[in-house]
Amino acid sequence: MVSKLSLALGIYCWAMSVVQAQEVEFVGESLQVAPSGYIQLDWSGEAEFFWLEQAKDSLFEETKVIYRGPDKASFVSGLLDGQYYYRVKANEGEWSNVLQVQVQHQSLNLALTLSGLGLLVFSLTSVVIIKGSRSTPSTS
Amino acid sequence: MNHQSFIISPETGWILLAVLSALWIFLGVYWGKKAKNMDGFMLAGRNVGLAFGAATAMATWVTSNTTMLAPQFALQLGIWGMIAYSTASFGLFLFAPLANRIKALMPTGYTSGDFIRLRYGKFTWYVFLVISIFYGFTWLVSMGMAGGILMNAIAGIPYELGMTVILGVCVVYTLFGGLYAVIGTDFIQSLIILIGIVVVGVGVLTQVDFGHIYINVLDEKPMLLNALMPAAIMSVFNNLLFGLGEVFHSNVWWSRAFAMREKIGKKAYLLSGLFWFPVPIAAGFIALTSGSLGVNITSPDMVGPLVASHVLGQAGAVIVFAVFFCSLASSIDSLLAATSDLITEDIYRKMINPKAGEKLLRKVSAGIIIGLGVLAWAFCMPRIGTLATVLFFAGPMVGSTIWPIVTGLFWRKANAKGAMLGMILGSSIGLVAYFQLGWYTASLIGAAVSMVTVLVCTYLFPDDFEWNTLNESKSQE
Repeated sequence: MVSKLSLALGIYCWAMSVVQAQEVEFVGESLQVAPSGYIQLDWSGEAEFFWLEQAKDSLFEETKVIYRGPDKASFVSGLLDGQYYYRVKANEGEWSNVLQVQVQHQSLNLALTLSGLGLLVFSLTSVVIIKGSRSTPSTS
Repeated sequence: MNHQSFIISPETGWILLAVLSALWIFLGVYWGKKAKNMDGFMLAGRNVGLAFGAATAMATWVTSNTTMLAPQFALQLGIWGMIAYSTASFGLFLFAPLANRIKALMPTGYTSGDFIRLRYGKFTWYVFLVISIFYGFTWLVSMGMAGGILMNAIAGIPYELGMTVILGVCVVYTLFGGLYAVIGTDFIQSLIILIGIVVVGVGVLTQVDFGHIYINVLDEKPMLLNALMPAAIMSVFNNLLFGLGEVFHSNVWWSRAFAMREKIGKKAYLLSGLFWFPVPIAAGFIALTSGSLGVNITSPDMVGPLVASHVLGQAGAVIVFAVFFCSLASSIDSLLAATSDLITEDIYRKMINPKAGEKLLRKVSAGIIIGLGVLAWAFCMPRIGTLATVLFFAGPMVGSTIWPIVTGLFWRKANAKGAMLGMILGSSIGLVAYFQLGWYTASLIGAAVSMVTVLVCTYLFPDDFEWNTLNESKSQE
């Protein structure tokens, strides 16, 4: 009787762990755009150990392990332009849904134009302050 | 909230929290005894010297924004991000000459709002108050959030509890001590922060090799080393102008200018800028080591505490905890005091009850400090976004105040039309940029639009302002 019970309990625990492992999935949309080359990856599921992979193709033929450990999030940055695919699994469980990230950095021309504008505003502000504090008596 | 493993046990975290909280409350109450009147409570008797003046400015500027956001900048935007953050020191450098000018023009002034009201009139003042209070509150919320995030990440203290304790402690000691307590605690906090940063820096340098860091970043995060990364390039002047706008308009900095002895302000702000400048570079650098150290970053705003604690181990995590607690407390207390001054002086005394006596004003000020704390707590509870997104939402607004403040202090011809339109147009168009282009463009666009507006209005409608109007004690005689 006791051995039957322990067998049933064992099967139940195994089934639960499989169910929990299969429940690992990314939080949020499965297609995301990262215009600055960084992305926050969060996933749900209960396990002591997660395995996060990145690939440049949707079939995950060439993968890179991004993280192995107990955390349920990872921040990825410094990505070049292109498509990136991510998947995560718990312990020996099934892989999660695939998260596709599209990296398309902003226009360099826009960045340089805005920087030029910023330099102009900063320079003129400095000139007004320095000239003002030199030429204006404290109270006149 | 992201799940991650904790660095010190929750028990150790709670003990640290209790000890630091008791220390600041004790010091706040002790220094608060000096505040005999409203000038004492709001402006520390207008007698703050160079050492305390420089230390309070430096400590206030080393906020969660430096210890948590500077590493976040480096992790998101690479080398340019690190440099971008350190440009915020220009806010302190350029405010140095303004501090002396402010003190000379308004020897009996209380708030930045006083200046706008006297210089540009009521309507511009209303717009300014909306911007200034919104910004102060956003900063306060971002700081409360940072406290909760930090204590959760390091010690596993639930976000809600950690955030509540740090806000509560700062409310209590600011309530008792006013600006005396704020400046006194800032002095000690700035020493702890500087020592802690040196310890963390030495710890990182002894454990990692520059060549290894470079190769790791080049392999894993190549865009961070790209000198032409568009978002990073845009962030440099955006952050610089955001810092300028923050310091120039905020009552946190004006109240210190009023509190310092005559001609001390310039030296104090220059010194604080010099001390502050290397802090974000050091803090940012450690973020770039996260990959080679194998530290998983669960949220970008946690990269600094996570790497520092990883490098220094359990004992080091205690130092990190103390440094971050101090950097948060030194800013939260300043914000509570300065925003409460602004609301008490500019809204209650100037708009609602001009005949209010000192006792009543002190009560109102205390009520506002408590109210601000409770409101900030309510906004912090849902943890709205990352620190950068919360704080930079106020970016276009503060950027749009730079030119109205600067020209108002130095140009007789600067006028209310230019100041008001500059703030409204700069804020509006900057907010469009925030949503259309990204948070790293909003302050820049806001400041540029405001500058053009002020210049055009000064040319079209020149004023002839009488500087003595700013000295209320003279104009009342």
